[in-house]
Amino acid sequence: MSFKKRILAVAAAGALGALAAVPAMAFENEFHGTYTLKYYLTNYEQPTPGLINPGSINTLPGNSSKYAPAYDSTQNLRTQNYFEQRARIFYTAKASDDLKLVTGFEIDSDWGDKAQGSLPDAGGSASQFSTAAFRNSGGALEADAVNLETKWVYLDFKIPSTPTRVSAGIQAFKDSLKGIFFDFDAGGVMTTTKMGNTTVNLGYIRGYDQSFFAVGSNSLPKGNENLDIGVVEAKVAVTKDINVGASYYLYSDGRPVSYGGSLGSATVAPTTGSSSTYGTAASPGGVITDATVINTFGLNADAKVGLLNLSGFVAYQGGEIKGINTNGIHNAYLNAFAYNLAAKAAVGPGTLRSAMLFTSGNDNKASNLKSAHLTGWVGTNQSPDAVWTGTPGTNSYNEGNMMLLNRNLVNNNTNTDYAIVYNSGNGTTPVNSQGLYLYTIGYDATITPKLYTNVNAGFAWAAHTNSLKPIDANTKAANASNFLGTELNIETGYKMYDNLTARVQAAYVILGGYYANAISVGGQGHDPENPYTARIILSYAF
Amino acid sequence: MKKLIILLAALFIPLMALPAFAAQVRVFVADMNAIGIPNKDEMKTTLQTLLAARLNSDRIVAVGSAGEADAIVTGTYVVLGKVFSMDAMARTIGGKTVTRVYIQGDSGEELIPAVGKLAEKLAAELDKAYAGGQPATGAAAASLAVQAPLAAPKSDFIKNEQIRPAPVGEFIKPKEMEQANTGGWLSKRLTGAANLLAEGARLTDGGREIFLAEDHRLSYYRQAGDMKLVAETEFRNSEKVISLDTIDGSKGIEIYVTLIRGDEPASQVWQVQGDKLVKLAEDIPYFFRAFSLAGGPKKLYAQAMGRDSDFYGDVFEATRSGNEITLKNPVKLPQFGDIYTFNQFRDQDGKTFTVIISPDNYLVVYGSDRKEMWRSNDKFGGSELFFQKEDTGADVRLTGEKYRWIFMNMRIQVTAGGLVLVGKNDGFWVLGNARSYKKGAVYCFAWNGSSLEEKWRTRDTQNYMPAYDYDEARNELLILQTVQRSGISARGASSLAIKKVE
Repeated sequence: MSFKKRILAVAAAGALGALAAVPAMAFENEFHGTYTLKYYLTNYEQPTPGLINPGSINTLPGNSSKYAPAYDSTQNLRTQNYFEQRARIFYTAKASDDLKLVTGFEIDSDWGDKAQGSLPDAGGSASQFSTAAFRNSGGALEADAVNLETKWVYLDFKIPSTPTRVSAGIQAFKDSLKGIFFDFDAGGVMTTTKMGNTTVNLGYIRGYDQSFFAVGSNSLPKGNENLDIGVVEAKVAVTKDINVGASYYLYSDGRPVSYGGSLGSATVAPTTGSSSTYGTAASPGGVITDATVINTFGLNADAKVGLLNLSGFVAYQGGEIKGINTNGIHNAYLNAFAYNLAAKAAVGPGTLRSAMLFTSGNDNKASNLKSAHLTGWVGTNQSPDAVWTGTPGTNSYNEGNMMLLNRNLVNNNTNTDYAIVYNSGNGTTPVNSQGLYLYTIGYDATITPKLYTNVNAGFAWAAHTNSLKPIDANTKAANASNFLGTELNIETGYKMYDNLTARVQAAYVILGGYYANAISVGGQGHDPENPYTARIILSYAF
Repeated sequence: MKKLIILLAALFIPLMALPAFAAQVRVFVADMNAIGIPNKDEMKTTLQTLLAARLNSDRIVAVGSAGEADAIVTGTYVVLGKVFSMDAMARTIGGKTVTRVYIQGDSGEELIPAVGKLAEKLAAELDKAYAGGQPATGAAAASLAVQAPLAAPKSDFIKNEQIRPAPVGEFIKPKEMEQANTGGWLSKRLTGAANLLAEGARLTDGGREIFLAEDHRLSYYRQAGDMKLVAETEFRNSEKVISLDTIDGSKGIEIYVTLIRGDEPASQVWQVQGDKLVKLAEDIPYFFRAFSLAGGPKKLYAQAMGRDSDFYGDVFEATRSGNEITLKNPVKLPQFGDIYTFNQFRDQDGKTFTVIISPDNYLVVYGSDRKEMWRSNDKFGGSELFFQKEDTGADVRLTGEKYRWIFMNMRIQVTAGGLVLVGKNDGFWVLGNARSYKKGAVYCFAWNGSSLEEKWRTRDTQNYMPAYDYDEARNELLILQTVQRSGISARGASSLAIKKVE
C-alpha cells in the first residue's frame, strides 16, 4: 500500500471513528408533521396558486364548450368539487441543544390527478412531462408517484461562548411586517443574537442566481446576477407587556427582470426586451428592467393594554427600478407605505379580533408607465429566470382569518392558494400595485372543550385606481368605486383528539362596485358571480 | 416410673423456660434520617450504630438485619439552629407501629447522652409492648409477615441496589395500607381525567384536603379513608387550567389556579370556605407555582408571559393583595428554565445548584453561575398537559397550525434534606406534539458532588401519571394516575395513590 493510500485509509478510519462517537452526544431524533385533507366546493378556486379575478373573462376550466357557452364569463360558474391532501414531515437531528439539523418534507396530491408517471428518456418530447406523475400529484389510480418535496434543510447551531444562534441552509423566512413583504422558504443564513431583552437578527438570502437559468452562449458566471435579500431586525421586550422592533430589508435584484404578464382585462403588452440572458425559449414579455433595489424599513410593536392585545407596524419602501425603458423613463423610483393595526381581546367565551391593513398603490400600469415615481407597495414574488410571475406569491397576511379576500396562508395551506388580493400590493408586478385597505373583524368562540367556531367579516378596497380595475361594459369606463367586496366566513372545528380536528369552512364574497358590470355578455354589462368556497377538512398535526 | 417422670420433667423445664428466653425482643435499627446537617450520610450511620448499641440489653437484642428482627426501629434526627430533636419509631416486621418516642436537646454536645435516653425510653416501651412475648397488636399478622416481605420484597420503592444495597425492610409497606400489589393507599375511581394535583390543609381526623384539576374544572376532595368529593367548580371552555397550587394565606389555604385564556395567563385564586369553593381573585396575568425552593419553606412564585416569549424574565416570589401581585426576590434561571421546570438544591457546603428538565426532558444541573454542570443520560418528566399560543412566525405557513403547543412538565421537588424528586412518564406514542404516555414513576436523587445519584424510585404506575406530590411532613408520596383519558363526551377518570416513603 502506497503512503498516500495509507493516509487515506487512516483518514477514512478516523472519520468512521468520529461517526461512531456521535451517539455519545445524546443524539435526539425529533419528528413533527401535519396531514391535511380537504374537500372543496368552490366556483373560483383551483388546486394551484392563483388570483381570483372576477372582473375578467377568465380562463377558468369551466370556460369550455362542454360546460359553458364560448362567451362564458365569471357568471354562472360551475361549482367545482375536488379533494386534495398535503402531508408535511419534519425531522430534526439534534446533536445537542446547541446543534441540530432541521429538515422538512412535503407530499401533496389531488385525488384523481396523475399516477405512476415517469420522466421521458433522453430525447423524449417535452409534452411527456405534462403527463408524468411528479410534484403535487400521485392521487390517481395506483398512486406510485415520485412526489416527495424537500422544504427545509438547514443547520441550526449556537456559536460557542456567544449569545448568537445561526441557522444556515434552506429554511423559512418571514418579515416582521406580518409577512406582507416576504414569507417564503429560501436558501440563506440567519443569525439571532439575544442580549438581555434585546434580540438582533441578521440574515442573508439568495433568492435566485440567474446563472442557473442562462444557458449556452448566454451562460453566466455564478453569483453575478442574483436576487439577494438582506435582513436586519432588532426587537426589544421593553416589559412583559410591550415589544418594539425595527427592521430593514434590502431587496437587491441584479437580474434583468421582466415585470410582465397579464391580468385579465388589463393585459400587459410585451415590450421589447433588451437582455439576452434569459434561459427560456421564448423572449419574456412585460417591462424588462436592468436591476431592482428596494429598501424596506419597518417599525413594529406588540403590546398588551389591559385586556386588549395590540399589534401593528408602519413600513416604508424606497427604491429604484433601473433601466425600465418605458415611455422614455429609464429609471423608476419607489416610495411606498404600509401600516397595520390589529387588536384582540378575550371577550365572553372566546376572543374578539379586529385588524386593518393599508398598503399604498399607484396608477401606473406596467405596459404604459406614466411616471418615474412609483408609489405602490411591493410584496415579493417568485421570479425564476428573471420573470416576475405574479403567482405563486411569497408574501402573506394572516391576520383577519380571510379565505378568499386576501392571501391567508393559515387557511390556504394546501395546493389551492387563491385570493382576490393575492399580493399585498394588490397588483401583479412592482409597477402596477393598486394598494389595499383591508378591514377585518371576527370572533373565535370555544363552544365546548371539543367544539369551536369562528366567524369573520372582511372588507377590502383598492387604494388606488389603475389599469387593473375592470371596465364597466356598459359605460366603457372603469368604475368609480374602489370597493372590492365583503367576505363573510365561518369555520367550525371539532377536536376529535388533541391532534385531530375535523373542520368545516365556508366563505362567501359579495363583490363590490369595483367589479360592477365588469362582464360583457352580448354587449351588456353584467356583474360577475360572487366567489364562494366550502371546505370539509381533516387536519392532523403532531 | 417416678424416675422417668422426673427425667421428663427435667427435660421439659428448660423447654418451658424457652418462651421466657424468646421473650427477649430482637430489634433491628434501620437507617436514621438526618435533616439540617451537612454530613448527613456519616451522621446516619453513626446514629444507627449508637442507638443499636444503647438498645442492647438483657431484654433487647440489637440484631444486624431486619430478617432476624421482631421489631424494626427507624428514626429522624432534625437540627434547627442549635436545637435538635431525635425521634424513633418501632414497628413490627409487618409494619404495625409499636411505639414512638422522641427526645430533644439544645446543643450537639448533648447528642450522645440523648441517644442513650432515647434508647432507654424506647426499650421501656418495647418491654411493655412485648411483655407477653408478642406485641399486643396482631401477633398472628406479625408472625405471618416475618416471611412474606422478606421472601417477596414488593416495595413500591426501588433502590439502586448495585450502588447501595438497601437493607431489607427499609421500605416495608404497612400491611393495613396495602392494596393489591401496588402498596399504599389507593383511591377509588375518580370521575374526570385530572391533570393536576395539590394538597390542602390537614384535617383533624388525620386526612387531608386534596384538589384536582381537569382542563376546565377544579375539584375539592377530602381524603381520609376514602376520597370524598366536597365541591367543584367549572371554568369557561375558553379557559384551561395549567397549574394548581396551594399556599397558606392569611385566612387559610389559598388555591392558585393558573389559567390560560385567549393566549394569556388569567389566573384565579380560590379558597375553601365551609364546604364551598369561593373565588378570591381572578384575571391575574401571571403563571403561579407554590413550592419549596431548594427545600426551604413553601412560598408562592410567579412568572409573567411575554409578548412572544412563553415565559418572560425571572421568576419572583409573589404576594397577593386582592388582584394585585407584588413581586420580589427574583430568581434568575438558566437556559430553558421556567417557573414550572426548575428547582434548586444545596450541597453539603451550602452551594446552590439549579436543576431543570430540559426541553428534551433531560435533567440538567447548573451551578450558581448558570453554567451546565451535569446532564442525565435518561429522560425524565413528560406531560400531556399543554397550552397554546397563537403563532405568528414563519412556521405557521408550513405547519398550518395557527397555534403552537407549549407543553407543561413534571415538577421537580426538593426536600429539606436536599433530595431531588422528579416524575417520569414513558409512553408508547410520544411523537412531536402527539403524546400518549402509559406509565409513570417518581425518582429520588441526591447530589453526590458531581452528579445526581438515584436513591430510589417508585414502581411504575399502570397508567399515565400526570402529577405527583411529595408530602414531606408525612413522608408520603401522592401519585395521580389517569385511568381513563377524557373522550369526546366523557370526562375520563383518575385515581390517587398514596405511598409511604421511608
